[in-house]
Amino acid sequence: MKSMATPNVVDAPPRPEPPVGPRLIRWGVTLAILIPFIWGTLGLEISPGRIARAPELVWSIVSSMFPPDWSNTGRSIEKMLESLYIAWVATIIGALFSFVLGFLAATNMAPRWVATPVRATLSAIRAFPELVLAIMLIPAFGLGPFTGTLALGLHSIGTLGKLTSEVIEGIDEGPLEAMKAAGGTRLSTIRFGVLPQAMPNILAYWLYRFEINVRASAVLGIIGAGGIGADLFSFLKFRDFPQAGMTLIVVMVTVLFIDAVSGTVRRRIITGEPGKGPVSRLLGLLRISRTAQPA
Amino acid sequence: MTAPPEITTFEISPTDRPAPPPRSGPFFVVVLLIGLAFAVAGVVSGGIAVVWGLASGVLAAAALRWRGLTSLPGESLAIVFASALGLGLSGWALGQRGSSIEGTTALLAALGWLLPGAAIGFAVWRNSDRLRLTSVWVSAVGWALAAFFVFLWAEGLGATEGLSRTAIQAGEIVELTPTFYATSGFFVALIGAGVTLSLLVGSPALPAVAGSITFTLFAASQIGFSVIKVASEADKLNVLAQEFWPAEWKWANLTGQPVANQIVEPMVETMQIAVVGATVGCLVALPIAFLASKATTFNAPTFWGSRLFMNVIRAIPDLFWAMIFVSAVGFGSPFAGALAMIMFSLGIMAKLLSETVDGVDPGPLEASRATGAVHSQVVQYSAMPQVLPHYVAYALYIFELNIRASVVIGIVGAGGIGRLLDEQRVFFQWDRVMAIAIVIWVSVIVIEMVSVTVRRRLV
Repeated sequence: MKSMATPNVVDAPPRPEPPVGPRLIRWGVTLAILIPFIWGTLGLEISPGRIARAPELVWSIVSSMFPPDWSNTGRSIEKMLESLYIAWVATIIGALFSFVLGFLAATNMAPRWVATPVRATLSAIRAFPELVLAIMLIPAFGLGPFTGTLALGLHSIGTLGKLTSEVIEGIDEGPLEAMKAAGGTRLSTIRFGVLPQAMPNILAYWLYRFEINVRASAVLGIIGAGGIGADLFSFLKFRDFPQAGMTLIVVMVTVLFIDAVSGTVRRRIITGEPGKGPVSRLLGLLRISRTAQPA
Repeated sequence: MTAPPEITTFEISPTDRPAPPPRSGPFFVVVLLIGLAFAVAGVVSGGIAVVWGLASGVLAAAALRWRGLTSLPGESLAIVFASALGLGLSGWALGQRGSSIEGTTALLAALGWLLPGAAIGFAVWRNSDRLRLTSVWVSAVGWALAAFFVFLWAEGLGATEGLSRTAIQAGEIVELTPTFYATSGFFVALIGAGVTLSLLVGSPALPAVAGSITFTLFAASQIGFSVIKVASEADKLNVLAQEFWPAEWKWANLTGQPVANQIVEPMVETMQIAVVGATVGCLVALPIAFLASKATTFNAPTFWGSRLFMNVIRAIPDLFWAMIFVSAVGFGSPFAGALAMIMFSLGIMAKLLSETVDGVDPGPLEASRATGAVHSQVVQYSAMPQVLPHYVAYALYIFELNIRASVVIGIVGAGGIGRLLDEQRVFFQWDRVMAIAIVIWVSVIVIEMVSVTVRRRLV
């Protein structure tokens, strides 16, 4: 019994030194973040005093937006609806064209000599920010929502085309081969082999693009391409902060609402399961379930 | 000897097998046909609502009969009768309106559409073993709701094309034209038939597509956008080519700087704004993302609080942030731009990362909690290593987004190359705008290529 109480003295082997590699990587990553960051701050015309004063300045602007001035809310909502229409039509344009271009840009659907130039065109379109595109269309089509819609639509073609082609490239080739073996034509292979696999994701991307387009079209007004942006721009320019606050709230509520609805629908499309929301419950009430059916 | 056990045989007839659920696809044609039925009937009605209803009822019943959705002659007769009565009532209600169609008129006119909706719903229900009787009600209400919104927005949908605008403004009551009946009937029937048949299919695809088509046409006419307009304005692209080409790279500089610096320096400033915005934004997003995920949050208030904060920040577009900060810290300052980019990056990173944290394996978290780790240690040693590769990939993606976003924030006075763009734009110097656009375009493409390569290596 006594012997168990005596501590066992074991010669501990020397602890291995931590390897150098990870430490080097850690330092390298830190420097790779820190050096550009410091370089970046050099160009911002800032001083410690300016940073310290910034929260106070921002707070004074935000607090002067409250209480918001609700007198012009009707007009703001109308303008926000215009932004919404622009976003919707642009998304439809993007969806229609990108659907075709997406197939042409997918390497498993189109020959390489078609796919490569289509891809290049899509990324060339995408590289212009929406606002720059709108600025460049103004001399031809003038100010107004028409130009904004065209610009947003063009940009949407670029982004959706890329996403669509990626979805199509990611599909399972098995069903396609089976259909080809059974003598299916090219069109029926696409209809029954590609679309059932790709369509849920493509649809979800369309909705996602609509969410982005709502934000983008809210901004377009700044350069006079329609929508609510013009109002907010002038309110802030003329320092009418209560009205600006009201406009911001209208934008925020609309964007949050669209995000929520679109997010729910997207989840429903991707998972393929009936949701638990009121709409699904209503649809469930109307149908006679198969198991309860009398024999 | 014992008798051999009796063998029971089961006869399986093919009818015992449940029929596969119908698919939306074939029904699109029926929906379109019913829509066209109401449109054609509107054209031939000569502006008399009862004739409109009678004709559309006959055509719609024929379309349904063609696909075997109705069987008895009685059902077809019911559809014809209900639509004649319903559309007659609807036309009468519309006749009681003032100059334009107001909410009450639209509501009254919509009530008439309950009848054809119910009749078609009833016929479909009779011929299906999948539906409950409630579906008839839903069908009726679906048609009426569609009618209400179409009448309310009839002007936007082009349905009042036949009514003269001056007459409406003068407050005169104008007879409804066949065009009005045809257009509004088409859209109501498209959505209504979509609702009725979607009950049969059990998927909302039909009314969703019908509604999307209707809303697209409505939205397009509200903003003055149409295919015809695009086609007729296409020749204006020549104007673009003339105005923008050739790009002008050298313009009079007022500040006495070397000419090359005119474009390059603001572009460098843009990069600096993007770098600072991405770095600070991604760092600040880290704690918020962990608080906004159920797996690593403290309690309900911090969870909902941080989620609300995250969503509100994301709901304001980047340029609006820039405008707010420009008002606060001064016009033309890149500092305002950097602040805006911080908010922009923060919103996206917090959202992406919190969704990733939601999906972490809870095992390691539980293990470290079991060894007595405090909350911060759980996050640092169990959650963080799982999400780190994603975090780095997101950070690069956000840097890429920041470059795109920060080239335009100068338009509202937040520094960078956008300021230059705005200066030349307001003086219609399109050839200079072209030069700036080319610089932006090339930088965006280069950054994207680099970022994509690095991300592919990382993940």
